[in-house]
Amino acid sequence: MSTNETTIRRRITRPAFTSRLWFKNGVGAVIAVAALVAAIPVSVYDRDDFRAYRASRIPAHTVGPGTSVGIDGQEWSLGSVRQYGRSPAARRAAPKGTAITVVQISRSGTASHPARCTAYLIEGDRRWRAEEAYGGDFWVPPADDATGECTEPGSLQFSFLVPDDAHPSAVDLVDADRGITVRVRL
Amino acid sequence: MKIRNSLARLVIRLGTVAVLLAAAVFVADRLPYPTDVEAPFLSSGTVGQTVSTPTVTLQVQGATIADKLQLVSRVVAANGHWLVVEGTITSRRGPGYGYAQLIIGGRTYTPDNRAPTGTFPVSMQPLTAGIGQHGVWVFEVPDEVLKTPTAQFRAWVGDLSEIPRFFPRIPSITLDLDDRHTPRVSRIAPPKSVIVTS
Repeated sequence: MSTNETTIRRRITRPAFTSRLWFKNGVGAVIAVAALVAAIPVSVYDRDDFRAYRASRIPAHTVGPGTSVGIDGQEWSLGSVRQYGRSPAARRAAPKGTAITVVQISRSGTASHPARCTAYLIEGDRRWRAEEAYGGDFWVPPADDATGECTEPGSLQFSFLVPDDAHPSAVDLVDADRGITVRVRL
Repeated sequence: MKIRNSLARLVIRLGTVAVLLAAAVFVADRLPYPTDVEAPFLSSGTVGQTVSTPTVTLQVQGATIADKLQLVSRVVAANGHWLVVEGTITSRRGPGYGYAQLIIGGRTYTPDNRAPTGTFPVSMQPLTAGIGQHGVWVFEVPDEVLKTPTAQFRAWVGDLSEIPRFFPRIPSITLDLDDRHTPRVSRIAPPKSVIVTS
């Protein structure tokens, strides 16, 4: 038997590269990892977490200045933005270096699914929560046709205590799950 | 190597499984706690120094050790001593409360519940971005603390009394506890927090 013949024979008797055990194990491991990765968007918990995170970053509706947007059967638009050093209606005057910002958002019509909300004034990554009617020293009571509760009909009014160097760009209305339902650009 | 005896193969397999499981338990028992892995990054400072992190700015004016706490209508004696830290805290991002911890000799103390309203963390107003508040944190500490040379005071802005998760950056102020830097008084009336703006 020549050397050449021996080599050929060995090639034939040796199992093919793809039928080696380590290769099969490797393919199995890759499939297992791929299945785990693919399960993340499909998994109930991860999907809900991701949805909640997305809702907390991206507003469901955006109202720009000078525009009117229909949301849940109501017409929303930016009413007015005023700044006070001392508001006659607030319990206390704004301390030195701060101001009370009062934002009015016009709403008309009746909401089909009214939901509670919390208002935040936004400036880049800084934000201020609206003063509360109960205990808020710098809370300005809403005008007669306005309210501070998203669930009630009529226009909305929120007051915020902000430092003088603040240049807010929007008001975010946030629901109980921290999702931004409406962003009103100032 | 090929082992033909099926009993020997079974024994080897079982042994391998036992060794792997034991090794896994050994490793799992020695894994660090999530709170250690996610521990905050501390920004060190001293009394009088303003320490800023992305979420909070803190300046500690000093500390006082007292035996009794003067409230509006009564006096509360400590089981040990009251350690009152005075400082100014400013949130840089969002609303929250000025929570704090005092670490002395490896022990962690949190502000005492018997402290009057208006002291941190539950100040008269929640902290808001860019608007600082000056006030005090009241801790109750045992007697041996008086012999400890230094303490670490850490404060952050949040909704919980626990340090926020996921690598927050938190100011850590070193307090000298000797009676020259931390005066001893018999009675202290903690002031209510006030809004201060620069």
